[in-house]
Order: sequence, then C-alpha cells, then structure tokens
Amino acid sequence: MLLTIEEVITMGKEKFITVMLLLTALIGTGGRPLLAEAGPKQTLWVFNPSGESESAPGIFVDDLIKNVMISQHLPGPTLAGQFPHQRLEIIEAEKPFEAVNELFYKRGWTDGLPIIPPTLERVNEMLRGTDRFPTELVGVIEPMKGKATVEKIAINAVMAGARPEYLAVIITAVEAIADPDFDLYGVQTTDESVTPLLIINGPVAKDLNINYGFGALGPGWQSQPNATIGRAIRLVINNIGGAWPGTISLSGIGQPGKYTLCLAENEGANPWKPLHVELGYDRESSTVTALRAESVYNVFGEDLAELVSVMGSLGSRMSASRGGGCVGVLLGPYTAKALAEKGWTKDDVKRYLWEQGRIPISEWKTQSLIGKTIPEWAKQYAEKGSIPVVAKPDDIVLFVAGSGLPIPQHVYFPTWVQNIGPGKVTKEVKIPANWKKILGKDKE
Amino acid sequence: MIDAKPFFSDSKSSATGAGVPDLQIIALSVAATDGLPKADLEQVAKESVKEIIDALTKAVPTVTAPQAPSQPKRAEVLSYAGKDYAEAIANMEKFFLTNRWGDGLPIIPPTEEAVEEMLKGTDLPRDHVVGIIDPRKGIGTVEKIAINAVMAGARPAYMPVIITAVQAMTDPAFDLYGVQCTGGLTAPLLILSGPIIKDLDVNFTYSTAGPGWRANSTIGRAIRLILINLGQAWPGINDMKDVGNPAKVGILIGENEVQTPSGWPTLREQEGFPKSASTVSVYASLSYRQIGCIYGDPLDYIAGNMKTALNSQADQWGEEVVVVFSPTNAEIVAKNGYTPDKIRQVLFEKGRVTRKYFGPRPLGTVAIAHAIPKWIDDLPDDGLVPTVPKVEDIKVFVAGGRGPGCGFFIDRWGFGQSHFLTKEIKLPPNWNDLLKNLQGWETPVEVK
Repeated sequence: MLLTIEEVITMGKEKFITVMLLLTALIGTGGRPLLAEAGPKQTLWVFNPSGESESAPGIFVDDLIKNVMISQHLPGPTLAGQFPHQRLEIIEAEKPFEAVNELFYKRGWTDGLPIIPPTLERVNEMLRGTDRFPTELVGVIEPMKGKATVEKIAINAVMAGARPEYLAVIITAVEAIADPDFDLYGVQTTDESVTPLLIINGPVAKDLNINYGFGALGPGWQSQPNATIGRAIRLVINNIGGAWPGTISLSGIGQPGKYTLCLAENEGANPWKPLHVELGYDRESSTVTALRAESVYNVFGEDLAELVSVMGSLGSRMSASRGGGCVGVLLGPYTAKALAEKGWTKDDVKRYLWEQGRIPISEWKTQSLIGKTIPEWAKQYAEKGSIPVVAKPDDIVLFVAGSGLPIPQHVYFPTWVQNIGPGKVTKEVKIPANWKKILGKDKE
Repeated sequence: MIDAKPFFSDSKSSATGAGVPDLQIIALSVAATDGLPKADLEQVAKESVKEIIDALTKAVPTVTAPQAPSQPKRAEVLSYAGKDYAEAIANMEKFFLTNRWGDGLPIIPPTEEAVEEMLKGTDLPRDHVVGIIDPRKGIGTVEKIAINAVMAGARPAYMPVIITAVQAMTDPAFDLYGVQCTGGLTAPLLILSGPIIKDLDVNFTYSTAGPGWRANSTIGRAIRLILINLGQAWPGINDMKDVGNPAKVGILIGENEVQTPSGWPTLREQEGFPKSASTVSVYASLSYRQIGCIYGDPLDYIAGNMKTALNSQADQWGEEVVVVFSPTNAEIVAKNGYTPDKIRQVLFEKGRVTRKYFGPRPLGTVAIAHAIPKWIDDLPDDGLVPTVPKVEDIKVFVAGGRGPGCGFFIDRWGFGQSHFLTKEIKLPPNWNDLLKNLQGWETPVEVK
C-alpha cells in the first residue's frame, strides 16, 4: 500500500519502521508493488545432534529434559523435544541455512550464536578427520547421560564450525570430560559457573595451528581452532549431555567461558617441561588436559606477588573449602623465562604459589555461608593464619602461554569442587593413521 | 539386572519397552560368562560387586520415559528431488537407509499412489491396527503395513497374506520380542498352504525356499521390513544375533499339494483348518538341514538329524521342528505305508538323545526356563530324551520339486518359547479383481 510521507510521519513508531521499509522497497523496485514471492524451495538433509539417552534408543535427552520442564514448571526452548526422532531429517525452505538455524535454536540445540547446519555432506566430510567407526561410543555425557558416539560428536563439531582435522582433538576432549574424574555431572548441575578449560600439548597443536600466543583465550583469526574446538565441546555438553541452562543447569549467571575455553601451551617459550611431559607423557605425544575452570582471572606481574595475592583470596574458596580439585595457572613467557634464569624450577614455582597463595583466616571469615568454620582438611594450616587453596603443590596445574612480548600477563583459573575426582583429566590424542592426508586436504 | 557388556544398550531398550525404564542394569565387563575359568569369573564379579550392591540398596532416580502415542499417527509424506527420477529415488534410498528404514536392498518408493494401490489389497480400514510390533511396540496399522509392502515390491493381492502373517507374529505365542532381540541366530519363516498358492503364483516346487518368484520373495521381504521399520529392531542395537541368518531376508515356502501323496493331509488340515481354506504359518527357524537320501530310509536320516541338531540339548528345548519332505522322499515313505502322523510317531521315538548328551545333572534353572518335565531330568545317563515335548511338535509337509530327494529338516530357535503358529487368511471381497491385476506378473512353476 502506498502512503504519503505525511501519513508515514503521523503513524506510531513501530508502524513507521515497518512502513518505512516497505516504502524503501517500493522505491527500490521502481514503484512496483512488492509481492511476497515464493522462491524455489531448497532441501537440506540435516543430522540430529541430540544425544540418544542411555536409557533406550529412540529416547533422546531432550525427551527427558522436557519431562523435567513440564513436571517442575521450568522454562525451556519453545520447540523442546519437537523433532523427528531419527538420524536424519529433511529441511525444505527458501533459505535452508537460516531455517536450520532458527529450528535448531528453538529446539535448544545451539549456544545462541549461528551454527553451521550439520548436513549429510558436511558430517561425512568431518568424519574423514578420524579413523574410528562412527558408531563407536566415546563416552556417556552427564547429567542426562546422552551417548556421545563418534558420529554425534562429528555432528556437533560441524555445528561449531570446526574443521575435519580438529575432530581427533575434539573426540579426545570428550573422552576427558566424560571421565568420572572430571565430575561433569557436578560441573553441569551446580549453581556455580564452571566450564571445562582445555589445554592442548604436543605436535598436534602445531599441526592444527592452535593458538598459544596472542589472544589465545580470545577471538580472532589466529584462534579459529581454539574457538571451534572449545565450542564443539560445549555443544556436545549441551546437546548430548542435556545440561540446558535454566532447566537442568542451574548455574546462576553462567560465564563467557561457556562459549569456548581452549588453548595450546606455548611449549617453545616454556623453560621447563611442557605440561604433558610433566604429567608423564612423551614429548612427541599429543594430549588434551581438561580442568574445571570457574573463572578466568587476568593477573599482571613480573614476579609471582600478584598471582599469590589473587590465588590467596576468596576467589579460591571452592577448592579451599573442600581441599580437593586442581586450579590452573597460566604463566606468561616473560615471567617464566625470568624465573628460570634466576634458577627456579617449575616445582619451585608451584611450591611457592602453594605456600604463599593462601586465604587469610580474617578474609575466610567474611564469607556468608561457610565462613564460620575452618574446613577440616585445612585446620593444620589454619593455625598459621591462612588456608591453602589446594591440598598440595601438584594440584596447581602450571603451564606457559602468551606472546613473546616483555609484558607479564598471567591467568589464574580457580576451580569448583565437590570432592568427586581431581578435576584434572589428561587424555592422549589418538592420531588417525592417515593423519598426513587429513592435514594435507586443507592446506591453504 | 545383570547383563554382558555388548548387550547393555539392548537391555536398556528392552527395559524401556517393557515399561520399567529405571531398571538397574549392571554391565559385566565380558561378553559372555560361559566357559570362563573360575579365576576370570571371580575377577569379573569383583569388578561389578560394588555396582550390584549399590543398585540393590541405593535409591534410584526415576526415569520417566516419554509416553507412547495412544493414537496411531497418519504417515508423513516426505519429498526427494533429483535431476531425474532415478536420482530422486537414489536420494530417497540414501535417506531411508541412513535412518535405518530398510534392509539394504533397493526399495520401491512408497509414494502416495503406490500405497493407495496397495491398500486395495485389503478391505480393512487403513487405520486398523493389525498388531503391535515388538520390540519397540510400533503400531502396525494397515497403512504402515501397506507402505512396507510397497517398499518390498509386493503386489496388492499379497496383502491378505502379509496381514495374516503379521497377525500370527504378533500373537504372544510367537514371542516376537524374543525372536527380534535374541542373540540366537533365528529368522522367521513363512509357510503357505491352500488354494491361494495357485492364485498368487507362489512357487511351491523347485527352489521354493529360494529366489525367482515375486510372491515368495516380496511377501517374505515385506515381513522383514515390517520387523525392521515397525518393530524397530536393528542389528547391534537391539537385534543381537551375533552373525545373523541369511533367511532373515524373508523366506516363504509354498506347500506342494500337487505332489503330496494321496491320503496325506495337507499342512493346513494337520493344523486344524478346512481343506478349502488358505493358511500362513510362521516359525522361528534356525538352520535348514538337508535331508538328502537317495539310498536309504529318509526317516533314519531325519531322526539322525534330530539327534545331532545342536538344539537337541536342554537349553534349546521346547519348540517345534519342521520336516519338509521333497516329493521324492514323500513318495518313498508313502509307498512304505507312512502318513504324516506315522512319520511323526517314528521320529518322536527314534529322534532321541541320551540324558547324558541332553544336559548337566541336575538341569537346574534350564529346566524351569524350558519347562522340561522332571521325569526327563531324572532319567539315567543312558536314558533317552525326546527332542520335542510332544509328537505333534513335529511338523510334516511336502514342498519343493522332484529331484534326488532332498528335503529340509528345519530346526528351531530354541532359546525362547516361540511356537509354530498357523492362521487362516481372510480374503477381501474384491479378490477376483485383485487376481486380475496380478496377471502378467506370474511366472509358471515347473511341476515335473
């Protein structure tokens, strides 16, 4: 309908916007009325990323979650559980990419950001990144116990935007978080905001250009592997583990690390042994280490004073209260080098952090819930006026990452604990037999 | 419930299907406990004992499985495109098989038109539920059966046979659940008897248990597709037959009434139906053992087979066995005065095994599971155990072509309690029209 400018101006704001667009469109088309043209429908065959429940094939974790939503009047995605309960579905739409995004979002299968539709072609392409059978069960993902098969992992990896050569690492990361020692159940159902931190060691980091330097924990052109590998795990956790926020995962505020939190160690800049060698693996092996990371504290400092101060604060209260779990310390290359030159070993650094990075009792007592009692395990230390953050120095997972700039930036990752498992799990990456071929395919 | 590792997901599936989704299932770390040395068994037990105690003593979070639909849903219509019809069909097949809706062979597209045509083969309404298909309790409406029949390549005139076969298999006495999910290598066998054989051009002579005739092959295959698509039993997931069985492709044997010796009742009459009726029998078969005997007494051969068939032992006792006489064998024994009843009697007497061979002493839980009467358990080591519970459990009929005299002794699944069942086929009022439509599809059989 054509309107005069006067009519347009006198309309309400909402209508104005709608009408304005229409007017612009009319002008653009030379005054021809804008018909709703039905463009040709395109078809996409899309795989189902959702986890089949361990209870039975045919029942998906979505069905179990939907039951919880209904019985406990909890919020959830509008199309929860409404999808063909089969391996593959047909999406017919003028704009199938957008249609899949819309549909998957409403079913609760995304993290809110756009996903790559896991089409038959893309998933088959992704599966070329592994020599394992698609039906192989890699792990059962808590809390809804969905089955993470190689295929389901590949589907979620496609959605995350990962490349086929990342699949071996992604599968290894799933093995790590599915290990009971990680306590994924606790991580996903607690009201605290904790997420897996993935640290990658060994030749695979170089093969895949996983960022260990500038911006390794942030976005950017150098961080595509970091972003997509980390995101693939999160989609696996959401779609196969079924920890839907607000329904199953009651983590109060969440945290940015729940989009992705993944990097490689800067082994070249590590004056001591790289993390995986320290943990007993061959230098030439590649590993994924998963930690339960509660926060990502940016710490500055040429020496360890700031780190000690940040560690020895109520930010570390979870592990301090239980005497279990492992915290993460990312040491900048500049500081690592300086310490090594002064003759410090990695063990010296860890011991120092453990002895000095303690929560003063006075600060401990200011806690609302548990400040009144000194934890049993820490009583022996409390007599000296402070509580260690973890039970022993080796529960501090120390690794080196960051750029070569002479600016001492570190990160402290406190942890979340309920004394099930140490929360530090390392798994070796099983490199596929045709690795060179897999890598060669995507060389620019 | 304690189960072996490879069967864990199968057990979970069964528990849910049976309505007890929160049944605690412990998966032992081994695939089977039979034959393991004591030390190994102890190790396995040690690994599981804490889990078992927890399962028995700790509170279990309830799992609410989603409710099964109470009304059968009308079938959805899906579309596939391609640059030509062949490509569109290829796309359909790719999609179907990726979703596990097929048996691996090419399928006829179940288009709306094809399904409408197939539905003319019955006067039952399309929403009528013929049976609930185990193990996942798919609702077997006439419409769904028709869709699978189209996919198999069946003709509308075959629908009455297919529907009756589904009725027979969903009879509790057939134990379809067990047949579908067992680790034993069984395949459902169909046997036709009656005038319908001639009507539908079913092969009852040379190679009746093999390929070549659309009726035999596609009726058998329709049943296989129904078991896969409606029963939703898929190999490795909940269909746990280790190696499988070639007969799972779907075998239909037609009775050779034309060359049955005079005086011998047909199979349907033996099963209690009038000669004018047509029947389909379903049987959880295992192996097809050739009775090849040009020189000698066929009955001795068969009795020998009954003795040595592995399932003449206690843990596979209790079901029927099927003896298919070739016309030649039938002629020989008939000349010596035998009829099916007499044959049964002889085989029942001769086809026995020693108590020692039959099983351990005492039989223990096996006796309960297979309803083995105490007098058998109590026999002395050299006492003779009949390999079937009663003489009527030996089924006898004639099929195949006249040749060197090779029939089949078909033995039974044995692990469960599935029985040989026969049902009468009800013909729709438009039967003659359906048969007219079948013209041109027949290939004459070679009766020599």
